[in-house]
Amino acid sequence: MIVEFTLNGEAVRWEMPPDTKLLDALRVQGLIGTKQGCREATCGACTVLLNGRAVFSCALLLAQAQGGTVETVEGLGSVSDPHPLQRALVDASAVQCGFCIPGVLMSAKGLLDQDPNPSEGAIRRALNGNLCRCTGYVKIIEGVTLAAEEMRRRV
Amino acid sequence: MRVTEYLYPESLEAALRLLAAPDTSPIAGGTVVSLEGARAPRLVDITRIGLDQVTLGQGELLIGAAVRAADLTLETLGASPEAMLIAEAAAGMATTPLRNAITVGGNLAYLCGWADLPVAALALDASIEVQQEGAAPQLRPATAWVAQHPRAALPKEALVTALRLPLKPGARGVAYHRFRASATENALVSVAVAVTVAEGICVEARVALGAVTPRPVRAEAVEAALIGGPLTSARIAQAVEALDVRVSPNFRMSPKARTRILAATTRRAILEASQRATGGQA
Repeated sequence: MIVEFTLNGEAVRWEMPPDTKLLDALRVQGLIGTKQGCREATCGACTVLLNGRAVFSCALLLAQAQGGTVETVEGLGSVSDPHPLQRALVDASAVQCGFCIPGVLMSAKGLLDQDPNPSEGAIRRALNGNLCRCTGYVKIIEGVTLAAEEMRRRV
Repeated sequence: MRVTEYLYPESLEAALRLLAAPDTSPIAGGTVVSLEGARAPRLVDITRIGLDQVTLGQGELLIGAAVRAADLTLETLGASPEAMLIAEAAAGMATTPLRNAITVGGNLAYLCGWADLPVAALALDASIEVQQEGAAPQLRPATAWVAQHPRAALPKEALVTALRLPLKPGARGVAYHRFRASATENALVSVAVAVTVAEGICVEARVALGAVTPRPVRAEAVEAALIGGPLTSARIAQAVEALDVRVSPNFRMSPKARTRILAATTRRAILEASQRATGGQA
């Protein structure tokens, strides 16, 4: 089937079997920033934004994105021009092995797009679907808080 | 099962017509289909047919089947004890990305052991609206809904279209409590309570238990022990002793431990609901 949607701001038209998971579709198309972890909606490494909301791309079909918008870590920023969230996670030493980070970034972006000044409780709640086995989460929460401050300054 | 076709009807009528065909099943949030595989090769997407509305009607709150768990908040549901119980049940459901996908209809229809909305529906005396092509909408009481799995009880072409909650008058208090191993794991025990108090006396009590038996159940013996007297902590503790539910085995915890936790969770939930009903005067 053909699925047309907006991916990181650009219109795309992908032809894939109707039971293709969004995660697999992205990775087959070369967007390998979105990670495959547990593949059972538990670890959060595959988190992307669908229509502005954080979702697990392993628990969604590509077909569900028809006519919608998908944002992945590739749309956030680059090494030379990082998104404030990417910058802040590095500054807060919130990145160790890095495997969970694309998912963490997308969950955090989903939150900050809705709530530019979140409480720590709101940050914890937004990130409760993203497992990190390195950091213990404290630095990640500090990083998201830093990013929120920076993003408010820029507006 | 391989999916060969994925369809996007634009109206409820069109969706019901498609679902009446053989080898067809609905998809909403997509979590069950993605994680467990499709039940039929033709999938009908029911998220674009207007089922994502919340309507406050005459003495009733109607929540469309395609409303996402993340949207079950007091902001979208309005302020009522019934809305509060649904919001509390939804707030602790799974993780944020899953709450952004899970729909009301899916949570009710899939009816897994730890599903939260069926437990809340049971405590609120709710009905589940089901539609199919060529028939009038059917209202199934929550008690009937959990008595037999909907997959066995309903024809394959039937679609859950709404959760309908009666808004009851009087001094009402509700509470939704759970016990689980971590903040996002499936509940090991969940308890939904709704009580009504008149002149200091409990006149209605519904206590629904989830995650402890294959499908949610009402603790009718506890309800009966609550009705007819004041909701004091002593009376509540005594009522909970009437709990006679046989807790299913679970690899995480022995039935004995879970039975004790169930009693403690039930007592706390009733206590909180009672305090809310009486404004803390109980």
